[in-house]
Amino acid sequence: MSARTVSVGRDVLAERRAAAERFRAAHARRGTLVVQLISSPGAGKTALLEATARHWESSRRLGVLVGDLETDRDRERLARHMPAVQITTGGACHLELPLVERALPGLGGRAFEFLFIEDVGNLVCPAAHDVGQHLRALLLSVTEGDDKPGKYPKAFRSSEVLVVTKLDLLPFVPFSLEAAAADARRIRPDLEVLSVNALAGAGIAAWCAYLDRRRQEILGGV
Amino acid sequence: MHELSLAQAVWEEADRVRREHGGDRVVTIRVGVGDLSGVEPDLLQSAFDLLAETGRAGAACLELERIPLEARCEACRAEFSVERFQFVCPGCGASRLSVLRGEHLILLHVTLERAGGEP
Repeated sequence: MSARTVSVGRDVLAERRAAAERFRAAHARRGTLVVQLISSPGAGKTALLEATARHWESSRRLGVLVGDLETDRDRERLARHMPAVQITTGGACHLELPLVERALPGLGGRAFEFLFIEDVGNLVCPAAHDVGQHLRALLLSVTEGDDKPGKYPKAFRSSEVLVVTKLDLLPFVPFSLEAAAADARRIRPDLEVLSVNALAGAGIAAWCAYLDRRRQEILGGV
Repeated sequence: MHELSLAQAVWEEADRVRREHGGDRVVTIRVGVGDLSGVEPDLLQSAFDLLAETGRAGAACLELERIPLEARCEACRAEFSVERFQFVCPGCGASRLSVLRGEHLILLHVTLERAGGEP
C-alpha cells in the first residue's frame, strides 16, 4: 500500500465552465444573446419578460426557458408572448447547464435574437452556476429593501445589470434607488442600473434598448 | 443549497485525477473555497460526507480551506485583500480592480493510494 499526493490547483467547475463557453459560442454564432435573469422569488422576472415582449411586439425573436421548483405557471404566462419551456427542478434551487440543454429542443430549434433563461427565484445558488449566459441580469424589487446588494455579494458581483422593479411601489416603502445602486456598485463598480414598473411599462423601453445594445456589443453586430 | 451538486463536481474532478495518475483509491481531497465562490464551506462538507456515506464518492475524505478574496488595483497596481466585498482600492480609492484569487472553488490536491507499489 502506498500513498502520494498530487497537486492540482484547478477550478472544480472548469469542465462545466468550458461546456458553458461552448454553449455561449454556439448561440453567438446563431446570433442569439443568452440572457439569464436572477432574483429572489416574486421580484418580477416573469413580469419583466411579459413587458419586454409587449414592448417589442413581434419585432424580435424571443424564446424563454423558465426554471421553478414546481408547476408550469410561468410557462403558461410567457407562452402567450414567446416560445416557452418550463424546467421543473423538483426541489433543486438553481438551474445548471445540462438542464438548460435538455430543455432547449422544446423551443423548436428556432434561431432567437434573445434567449432568456429565467432562473429559479433565489439570490444565492444561481449566482454560482454558469448556465451558458452571455449576460446576467439581477432583478431587485423595491419591497425587498435597498440594503440587499451587500448581503448577496456573489449575485451582484456576477451580474452586469441591476433592474430595480416595482417602481410604482416606491412611495409606499422605505427604498432609496441611490442607496441600492451605491451599495451594489461597491461590489461591482461598472454595474448598469435600470429601474422599471413592468405592469405599466415604465422603464421597459430603456431595458429593451439596453438589451439591443448589449447584443450588438457582445455578438458583434451579427 | 446547491452544495450537493458542487460536492459531486469535486468528486468527479478528484476521480479524474486518480485515473490520470493511475491510483486505485482517492484517500483525501483538499479543496480551497474562495470567499466569493458562492459556496458555504460547512454545507459543502456535509454534502460531500453525504455522498461518501452513500457510496458515491469512494471512501474519500474532504478537507477544506478558505481562500481569501484578493485583488489588484488597475490604477496603482497595489495588491490587497478585499474586505467585506468592497471593491475599492484601500490605497488610491480606484474601483477598477482585477480579482486575483478567491472567486472559485479550487481543487488543491488529491492524495491517492495504490494497493502494492508506487502509483
